[in-house]
Amino acid sequence: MILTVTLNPAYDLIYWVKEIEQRGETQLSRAHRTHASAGGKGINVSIYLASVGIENVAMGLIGGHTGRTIKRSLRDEGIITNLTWIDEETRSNVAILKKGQEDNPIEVNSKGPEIPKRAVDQFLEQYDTMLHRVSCVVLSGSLPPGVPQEMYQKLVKMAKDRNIRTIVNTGGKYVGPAAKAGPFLIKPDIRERKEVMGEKLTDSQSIIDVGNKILDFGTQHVLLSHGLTGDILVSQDKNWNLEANREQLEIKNRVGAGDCLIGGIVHQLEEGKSVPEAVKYGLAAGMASVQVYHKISRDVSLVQAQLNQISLKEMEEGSYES
Amino acid sequence: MKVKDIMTKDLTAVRENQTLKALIFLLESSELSGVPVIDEKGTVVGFISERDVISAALPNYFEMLRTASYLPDINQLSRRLEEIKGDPVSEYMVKEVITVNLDEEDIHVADLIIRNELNRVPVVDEDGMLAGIVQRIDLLGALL
Repeated sequence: MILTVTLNPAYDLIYWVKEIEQRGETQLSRAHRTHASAGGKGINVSIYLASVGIENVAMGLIGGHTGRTIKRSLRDEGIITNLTWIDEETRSNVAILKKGQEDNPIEVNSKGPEIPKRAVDQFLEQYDTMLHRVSCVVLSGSLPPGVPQEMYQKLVKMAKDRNIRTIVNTGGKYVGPAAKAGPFLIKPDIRERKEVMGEKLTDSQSIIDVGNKILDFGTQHVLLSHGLTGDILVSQDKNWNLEANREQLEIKNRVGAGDCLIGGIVHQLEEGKSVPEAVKYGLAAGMASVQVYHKISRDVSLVQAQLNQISLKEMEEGSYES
Repeated sequence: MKVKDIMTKDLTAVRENQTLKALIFLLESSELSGVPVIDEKGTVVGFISERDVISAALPNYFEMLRTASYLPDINQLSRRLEEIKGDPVSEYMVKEVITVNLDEEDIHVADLIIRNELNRVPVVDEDGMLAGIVQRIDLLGALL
C-alpha cells in the first residue's frame, strides 16, 4: 500500500476567467468555469493513484469545516484516510487561469493554519503506526506554521529505518532537510523560485550540478523540471533528459500536473518499471493532466498518447546545454 | 455484497495510552460518536464511544434515563470529567470488541449491528489491523 502525506492540505478553488487586470480600482471578474476539490500535493497524488486503482492511504493535518469537506472528498474518491485533527480551519488555495494564458496560472496559496505541538506529536504517532503496513511513502508540499522545518528529514528517516521507499516533492527551505535524510527520489518544487538549496537553475549544467549536490547526501534520484515539458533525472550512475512535445498541446489547466507526474512515477514503480521509464510515464501523466479542466486527469488514453510523444535520452558527459 | 465493498475506508482511531481529553477532541472534531482503539502496530484492541465516556463520568447516567430520575447537577458531570480527563482510554474502552473481516458478507455485519445495538463496527484485515469501519448508514446506503 502507498502512503501519501500532506501536512498542509487545502481546498483548491480554480477559476477560469476571460479577463483579469488591476486597474487601480475594484475589479470584478466573472469566472466562466470553476473547479473545487480537495488538494495539497500529497492528496493530489492520492487522487491520481486511486484513479488508476492503486490502494493508498492519505495522511495529513486537517481542521474545521474545510477539513471535513476534504475528508468527505477523499472518501468519495475511494482513498483510505488516516487524518490528524487540528483546532484551526484548513486553508483554501486559489488559482486563476486567464483565457489564452492557461499555462501561466496565478496561484495564491495561504501559508496554512498554526499547528500546535500536540498535533505534530499525534501525527508522528499515527505515521509510525502506518509504517507497519506500507511499501512506499510520498511526502509532498509545504509545511504549515508550527511544524518543524526538519519534519521531512524525520519522516524520511523513520520510513528508511523500516526499509520503506520514500519520494519527496517539496520546495524552498524544505528541500535541504529532506535531501539530507537520503530519500529514494526527490523532486524539488521550483514554481516559486528557480533555485534549489541556494543554487540558481539557469541551464542543464546547473540543474545537474544541483542534482549531484543532493545525491551527495545519499538521495538516489533527483528529478528537476525545466519548463513545462522537460525534466532532467539525475541519478547515482546516469543522467537522463526527458522532453515532451509541446506542439499541439492545448493547455486547459496545469494545476496539479506536477502531482500527476509524481503519481505516475509511483504507479509505474509499483508495476516494477525502472526509474527512468517511470519518470517518462509520470511526465506523460502530467502532460495528460494539463489537457483537461479537472485537476487530475482520469483519462488513461491521454497518458498513452503523450507517452508516444516523449523522448527519454541518456545524457552524455559534456553534452549539456548552457 | 462484501464488507470491503460497503465499509468507510477511514482509519480514525485512538491508541490505548491516549487520554480521554484527546479522545473527546477527536470525537468532537471528526463528528464521530466512537472510534476503535489500536495498539502501536494498528491492531484493534478495543472500542470507545462517547457513551463510554459518559458512563465513566456518571456511572448511573444511562440507568437514570430508563427511570424517572433526572440529572441533579450538570456541574457533577463537569467535575467528574475534569477528574478523569487525563486517564488513558484503555481504562474505559470496551475490550471485548466486535469486529468483522473484509471478506464477510453484508448480511453478517447487519445481523451483528442489529443484535448488539451497534452504530459502528471496526473492519480488520487478516492480521487484525484496522482496515475501515462499517456504520449503520453504510449498510442502509448499500441496501438502497
